[in-house]
Amino acid sequence: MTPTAEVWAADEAVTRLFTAHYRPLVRLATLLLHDSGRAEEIVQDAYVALHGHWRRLRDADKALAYLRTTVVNRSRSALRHRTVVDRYLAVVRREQDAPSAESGALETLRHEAVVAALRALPTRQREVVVLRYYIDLSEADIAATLGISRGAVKSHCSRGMAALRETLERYS
Amino acid sequence: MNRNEDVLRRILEAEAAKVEVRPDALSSIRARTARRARWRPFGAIAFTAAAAAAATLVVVALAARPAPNNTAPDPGAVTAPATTPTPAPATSAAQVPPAVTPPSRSSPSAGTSPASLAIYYVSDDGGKPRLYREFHRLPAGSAPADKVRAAVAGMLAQESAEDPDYTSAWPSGTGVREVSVDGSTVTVDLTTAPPDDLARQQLMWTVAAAVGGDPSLRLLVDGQPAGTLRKAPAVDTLGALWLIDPQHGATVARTFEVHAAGAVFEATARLTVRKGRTVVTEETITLSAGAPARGEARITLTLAPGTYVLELYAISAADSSVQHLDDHTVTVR
Repeated sequence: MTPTAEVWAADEAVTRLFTAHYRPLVRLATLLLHDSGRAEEIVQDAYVALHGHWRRLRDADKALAYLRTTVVNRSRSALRHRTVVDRYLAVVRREQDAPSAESGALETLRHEAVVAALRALPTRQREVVVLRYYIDLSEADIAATLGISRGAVKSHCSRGMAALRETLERYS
Repeated sequence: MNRNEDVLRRILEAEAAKVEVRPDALSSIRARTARRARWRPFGAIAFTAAAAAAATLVVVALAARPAPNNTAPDPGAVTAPATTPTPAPATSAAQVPPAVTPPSRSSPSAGTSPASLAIYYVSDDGGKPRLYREFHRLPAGSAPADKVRAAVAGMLAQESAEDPDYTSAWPSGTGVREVSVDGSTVTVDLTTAPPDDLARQQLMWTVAAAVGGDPSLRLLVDGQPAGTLRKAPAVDTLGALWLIDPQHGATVARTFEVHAAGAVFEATARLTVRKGRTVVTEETITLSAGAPARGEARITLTLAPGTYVLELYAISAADSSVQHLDDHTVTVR
């Protein structure tokens, strides 16, 4: 079978969307998952799925929304994997053991503390906070990405920020 | 609060910036989409036909008839689809990697005829990962152990699902070491441990479909016992709606049967047939049983030749949103 118009179109879409969004999506998945290796696999899976779906999306905006939703959903399922949690706990323990107090500047300490607090948030709250403050999505776009209501986005966001506030302000 | 938000933004940006991507990422994605594209049965016509939206629908003969039997159908019952899953059986067969093939009691010998085997995959059902089923024609002997081996190897093969929405919960590169069947106990020895319960259930339901009934599965990893599995309840495991037949990528005659199954509120599902962006027809389907039981239904459609997307879904009673969507692209010849 020779490459058809449709296959070319889907291939081209993948190439373009890869150039524009691959790295940010891997970073997004890493913030959600704390495992950059697995994050990259998830984003690649999302691009492969997008290729299969291209016929119905055919629109760069919809395609990006599709990629984001797929990445967030798959990161959430991956997070359920015990192994990821174990690996994360091991990392946290290492960090806690490290004598970072005197070696790090205040900025570094705060960075580490906030990242740890973000990891400790319930999954939905972390998703909303990351989509809001890392990729600057609007409430409506977050609601669409996660398949939840705008009201739910608001409440997850305020709860997440409330949980992070103490850590954010501790080093100010 | 604003100050906190700014600080958080900077920290997220800095944390994200630590992550670099693999240099070969685009080529690995391309290799995978190319592998899939090879057996996509619809061609250039799809794109142009979709653009020429004038739907040339001939007749839609609708005969929604709940399955005649009153007993709740076994969701895992192995009924090969009436339509042959057209996507090149040869290609699918070639996909089954003999990855790690030590001598085994299931030794698939060359020249065995292909069998239609049910393989379970994972897809997203409203944010929850659930199992969905496809039938694949795979070379397998007639012994139960041979069927199990063929089905499990098919399940583990990378990108083996016809439907791009379906994936496997198993890590790529997992191989089958050995399979044996003793009455209703199946022993499967794999090279990789299951990453989670969903992977265990994906394997369990695939094995159960190959041997029939409700077997117990002794799982070994590299020869070491890794637990005994049983099928988990369908309601917690399977996708709420399955578009069983036609499968994704199938080629069907102008008049064909749509076979749906699932557990949905008031046994009511919807089927929308699209050609490009045009809705060709929408039907309400009444399944033979409502949630929490799994019901089935078959309806007959007649469509003009072309490529269509069949979307099976339920409408939420709470907010009228589309739920449990399972969709397949199908070519009518």
